Formats: sequence, C-alpha cells, structure tokens
Amino acid sequence: MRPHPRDRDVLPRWRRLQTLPTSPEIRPLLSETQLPAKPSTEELDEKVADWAQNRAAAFAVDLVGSALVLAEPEAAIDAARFLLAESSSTTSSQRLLAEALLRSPDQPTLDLDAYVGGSQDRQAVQDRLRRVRAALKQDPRDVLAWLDLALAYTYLGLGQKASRAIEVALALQPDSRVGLRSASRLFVHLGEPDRALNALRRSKRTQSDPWLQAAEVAVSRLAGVPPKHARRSRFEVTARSHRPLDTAELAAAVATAELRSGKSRSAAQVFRKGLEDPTENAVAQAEWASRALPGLIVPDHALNLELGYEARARHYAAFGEWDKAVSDAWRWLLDEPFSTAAALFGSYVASIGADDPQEAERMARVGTLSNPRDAALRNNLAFSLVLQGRLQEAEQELRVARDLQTARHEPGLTATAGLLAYRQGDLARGRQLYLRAIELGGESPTTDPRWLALVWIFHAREQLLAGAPESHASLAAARDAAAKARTPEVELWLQRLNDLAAAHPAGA
Amino acid sequence: MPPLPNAAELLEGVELGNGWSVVRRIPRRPGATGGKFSIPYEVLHDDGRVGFMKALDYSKAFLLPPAEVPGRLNAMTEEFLFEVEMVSKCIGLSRVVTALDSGAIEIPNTQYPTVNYLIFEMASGDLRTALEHAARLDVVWRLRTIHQVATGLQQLHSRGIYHQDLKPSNVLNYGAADSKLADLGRSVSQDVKSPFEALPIPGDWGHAPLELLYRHSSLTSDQRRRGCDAYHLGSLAFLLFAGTAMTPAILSQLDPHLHWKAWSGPYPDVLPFLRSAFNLAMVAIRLDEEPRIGADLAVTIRELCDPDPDLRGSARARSQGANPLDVRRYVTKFDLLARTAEARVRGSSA
Repeated sequence: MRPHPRDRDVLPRWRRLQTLPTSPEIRPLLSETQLPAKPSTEELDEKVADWAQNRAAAFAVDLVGSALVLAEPEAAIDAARFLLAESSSTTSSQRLLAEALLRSPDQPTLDLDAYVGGSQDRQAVQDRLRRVRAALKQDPRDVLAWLDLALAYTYLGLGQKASRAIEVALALQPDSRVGLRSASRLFVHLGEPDRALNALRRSKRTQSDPWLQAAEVAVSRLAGVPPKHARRSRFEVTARSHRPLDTAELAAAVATAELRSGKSRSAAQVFRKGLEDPTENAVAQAEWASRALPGLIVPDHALNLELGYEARARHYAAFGEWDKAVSDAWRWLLDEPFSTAAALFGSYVASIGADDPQEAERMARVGTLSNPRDAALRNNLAFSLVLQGRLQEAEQELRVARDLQTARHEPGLTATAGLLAYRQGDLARGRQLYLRAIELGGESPTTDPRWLALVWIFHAREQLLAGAPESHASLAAARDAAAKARTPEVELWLQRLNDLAAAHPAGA
Repeated sequence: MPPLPNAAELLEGVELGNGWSVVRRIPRRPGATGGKFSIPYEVLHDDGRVGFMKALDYSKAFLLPPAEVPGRLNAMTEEFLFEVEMVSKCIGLSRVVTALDSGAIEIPNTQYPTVNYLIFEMASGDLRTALEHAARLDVVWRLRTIHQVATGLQQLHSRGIYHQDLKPSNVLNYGAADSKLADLGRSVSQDVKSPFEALPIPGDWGHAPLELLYRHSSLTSDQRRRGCDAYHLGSLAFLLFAGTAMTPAILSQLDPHLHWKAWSGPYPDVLPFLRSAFNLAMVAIRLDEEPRIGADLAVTIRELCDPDPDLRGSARARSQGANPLDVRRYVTKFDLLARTAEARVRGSSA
C-alpha cells in the first residue's frame, strides 16, 4: 500500500463542465468587470397586454421568451403555465422555454452523491464520448465540447486523444482561462509539465491573470524551472489590485514555493492571505501545508466550501476520522476521476484507515480506468485484494504492476508481495520480501516514515498471526518505526498490533 | 378645472382632409409595437381602401415631471418624423409595409391639439396570429414566409436601412400567403440619423442578439447593423420551425448564472457557454418528414444566428472577401429551400 503523495501543488482543477457556471474560475477580474446593460421593458409590457388580449400559444411564447431574456419571470408565469398545459400543441422548444421560466434559479449544478459508489464506468464514459463527438460534428467550433471530449478521453486513459482534443480547444480560444488551466492540468497528468508550461506561457493573459499565474507557479516547479513571473506573482498577492478570491490560488502557490525554500514564516503569512476568500483548491493546499506549518490553522468555514472534498478528506484523515475521510475522498475522486492523487488517497484511507478493503478496491479501480499504467494504483488495488483474501487476483494485479514499475515503486510493490506471500502461507518468502521492502525504503531519503512504520507493523502482524519465532524482534522494530511517525493510521495499526501481541503472548 | 382631453383619443369620425376618414378606434393591433405612444384606428378612404392609422399619443409625456415634458414631446416628434422619413424611403418595396399617407390633424380644446398620424395598409394579422394556425401551416408556407421576410430585409438594405427590430409582431400578413416587414421606428439608416442609434439595443430586448445583450465591446458598425438583422432573420426562421425566438431558446438552455444580467465579464469568456447552449437549442430544428431540407435549414440558421459576431453569416463569402452578412445570399437560400419543398409537395400529390 502506498500512502497518498506527500507533495502537493496548486494545480488547476479540471472538472465536469456542469460545475463551471458557478465556479469563480470563469468570473471576470475586477479590471474586466462591466455593468450589465440597462434593459427597456417597454416591449415586455406590450407583450403582457397582447397576451391578455390573445390567449394563444404564439402570444404566450412571445411573452415567456421576453420575460426569460429580461429575467422578469413574474410577468409571464401565467403564460408559461399555459404553454405547459397545452402540451399537445406546443413544441419541445416552447416547453423548454416555459420550464426554464418556472425553474428555480437555485437549481443544483451537479449532484456528486449520485456518482458515489463508482458509476464512473467505462460504458457511461463511452456513451458520453459518442454524444460529444456527434455534437462536434454539428458544430466543430464548440470549445466546451472539445474540453468535454478531452476530459472523457482522459477518464478512459486515452491521453494522446485527450491532448489532441484540448489542443483544438486552445486553438479555437487561445486565451481562455478555463481552456488554459484545463490544458495545463491535462499535460501535467500526462507527465508533460513542460508542455503545460508552454501552453500557459504562450498566452498573453497569463501575464495579467492571477488564476493563470497560479497555474504557472505550480507547473514551473514540476517542470523544474523557476516561475517566469515570480516577483509579479508575489506582488499580485499582496497588492490587492484583485479580489482576494481571484488571488487565492496564486497566494497558495506562492506560499508553497516559500515553504519549500524554507521560509516557513512568510509561507504561513501568504497562506493566510489565500484563505481570506479562498477557492477549495487553495484550502486543500493550506490543509496540506498545515501539517508542516503548525501555526497555520485552516478555519472551519474554509473547510466547508462547496466542492472542497479534498481539503476535507485530508483534514479528516489527519485527525483519524476515517469514515468521513473516505466519504470525502470518494467525492474528490468522482470530482476528478482521472486524478491519481485522489485514487491513491482514497484507496489508502479506505484500506488503512477505515479498514474497508472493498471500498479501497472500488476507488483504486476508478483510478485505474484513467490510469491503467500507474504502478502505485495497481499496488493499492493488489493490497486491497490481498486484504479481502482474493489472492489470485492480487497476484495478477501485482504482476501487472511489476511490469509497469519504476524504481520508486519497488519498495511498495515488494511489501505488498510480502503480504501476499504470507497470506499464501509462504512465511519465508513473506519475511524475505518485507525485509527487502524495508531495506529498499530505508535506502531512500524520500521514504515516507508513515509507510516505513506501516510496513514494519504489517510485517510484525503477519509474523504474529503465523506464530513465527522472529515476531518479537519485528514487533520491537515496528514500535520503533511507529515512534518516528505518530500519525493516526500508524497509531491505529500499532494499537491493533499491540492488541494482537497481547493475544499471542508466546509469539510476542 | 378638469384636465383637457387627449386629442389622440378623439379621432373617431374625424375627416383627415386627404380622402381619409377615421372609422373607429381598434384594439391594439397585433404588430403595432411602439403602441405605448400611439393609438390605433381603422380608417377608410373615399376610394374604398381600408387603412390602419397610428395616431401619435402625446398624453403619456404629460405624466412625466414638468421639467421633462418638453424634452419628451420633442423626442416623440423626432421619433415620429424619423419613422415617416424611413417609410417614405421604402415606397415601392414589395415586402415592406407601405405608408399610404401621413400628416397631422388639429383637434381644438385638447391637451396637445396637434395629432401626427401615419396610415398603413391594413394587415390581417402578424406572424404570431398566423402561427396560431401553425398545425395547419405546412413546411412550404413556413419557408415561403421566411423567404419573403429575407426579401423584405434585403429590400431595406438596398435602400441603406437596417431594420434592427425584426420580430414576429413586425412581420404582417396580408391574406394567407403574403408577409411584409413593418415598423421602421427603430431602424438605422445610412444617411439619416436615427433617434435610437446610440442605444445599446435599438429594438426589442426579448429578441436581441446575444452580443448586444452581453455588451460585447468590440463590434464593428456592420456587425451591429447587418449582424443584428441577420441574427433576427435566423431567429425568425428558427421561430417558424421550432416555435420560439432564438435568444430565449438559447437562454433557456443556459445556466442562470451565465444569464446576461448575471454576467459582468467580457463577451469572449462567456461565448463558449453561449455556443454550447445555442447548439442545444438547435436540436429543435429537425424536419422528420423532410430531413434534407431540415439539414439545410439548420445550416442556414446556424450561419445567421452564430453567437460569435465574427463568425456570423456565410463562411464561404468571408473566405472570398465578400460580405458574409449580405442578405441576398439568404434570400436565394430560402427561395431554393421553399422551391424544393414545393416540388416535393407537387411530386407527392401527383
């Protein structure tokens, strides 16, 4: 099992199109804001009079249309109801018009709960792909359809096709904030941060738009180059020439860079600026950073932001509230089904924290749909299968993962193979593999102490369960490793190990 | 002292002195937009012609604060004279409602004794009344009607007039198969200054092109004028086949957070959402019984109503350096579609 990544950058979110209309990401900057035109309602009054004289569909629809355009629904409620009541003689467009007029303006945008449980299956996405392709045949200039197509391809793990689709979207609207942020997110997802950076830097808008600057700062780090507008970005955060909401992600990105360069105090200050009126992404970043910056408190109202699944999932996990962490991790994953971070986090907290390997398996499988070649996800999937006793399937997944692995995956895969060997009854191989995993992990300076502690704990646990003579030594080593990583999951499993040891005194 | 009566309301039975006499006041005629400041009458000529008279009603101006009254009276007169001038420029145009006469009559002992009037051919109704019988109206009638509307628009453009307020109530019917454009009160002329020229939207807001509602800041004068007329023409075609005007159809498919009243950003940033809503609205253009005609019609409406003013009109004309918004191309297109439909009908009945 691989813990969720320790690093985090303020990469732009890339969500379903339905979430965009209410997203602050599409709103204008202060400098771009203009007052709406002041309408004349003279014609609306005339249509009300005409409707009063002619109770017929053509007059009703004329009135409903004007009322909808002028956002004066009260003037036409009667006419809209008339159109709906006369459904046998009205057209579908007329009914849509009437329904739109009578609809509450506070309609929900996207009900993610409907997706929880993993309905993000291949068939559903392929159906959507077909619809989007058909729409593009009708209008190849539909930028949103190209973005949707790219997203659907990404869900299916078809990176090249997704790249082509998003390049078309960018060609159609080169300075679209949503397009540029989506493209940069996609290219990072595909392991091409340089391409992401090029896309962002090609646009003039990046020079003046804090939303794009935030992406540029985050992507620059991944590309291994300094941000082009570092000084300006820092200035934009403090100058207050933009609304705090517009600079929230930029503040989080700048603060993260300062945190990484060891300027903890300044980082905490800038994070706090980003929390004045934050996006959920900025909150997630602050929540992530708060583990390293004890003085940085993420306020409750920020954690409760709409779509703030990741921040809440991280927060609950940090405090050992595993069921809540799993619930929000699911929403995070369904919000961004292609995100390996979401799938890794979800499958980790489900199997390690909530002790629910079935849920972990489901989340890992959603992740592998978009990321079939991700060895870490395959490892988490194999781990969840071992815990469910589905050893043959686990072995198969591990084989796939082995074919995909790079050096950084080797410790994790070796540990899972050790667990599998133990469960298959091969104690010697299990022991050998666990010790090898620990050795490999210990050699790397970047090894997560949580992981090392958990590997020791699982190793000791398997030995205790098998009544192995070396279990007392493993138990001591596990306790030592756990002392260096006092996180809720380590505490949880250490407690379980201690309980097991108490129940098996001979082994201990 | 009781208030003096309103002269414009006292015209029944009055001889206008030019062969016309006022028969009766009629309910606000469908198609009589701008009716807030005019009163409609049926008039009869000595030679037997029946006309529709629009009598300018100044009384509403007197409801304003006293300081504003002179300005409003001047503005109303200016608007009226502008319409008279526009109508006089249209003499001889077969698809534009012709003024039969105009003038002023004095009604003594009234609030504002001079009543300006315009007399038009009396129509049987407007497009809305015709659409009330839509179930009985076939594809041929619909295509022929939009062809006649396009012809009327082209005739106006040929005289340097841009209608700017084309909508169902401004398409008047004369008998079962004759449509003409009416109400030039909001039009813009190449050589006469229009009183409404400076308005962000000269015509009916309920039918306005999206780029005007969203205050797109970089429109050329041709995009404002021809582009608006082209959009309205496409919107009427959409209405004839889908039953609603284009702008409300698009807005009904749009998230309310992106409605022009809620949107304060640049037009290019909202355009992708409008295009997406436009594409959803266009699904309604399908003629199951005439799929080929339906497909051609959809392409034509797409060109005319493209939410991007830079892409509106004929792409081919644009690529050839011609004016993509030239309505003549659409007169031909709608004529061809109508002829195709007529031939089909003849073929199927033979």
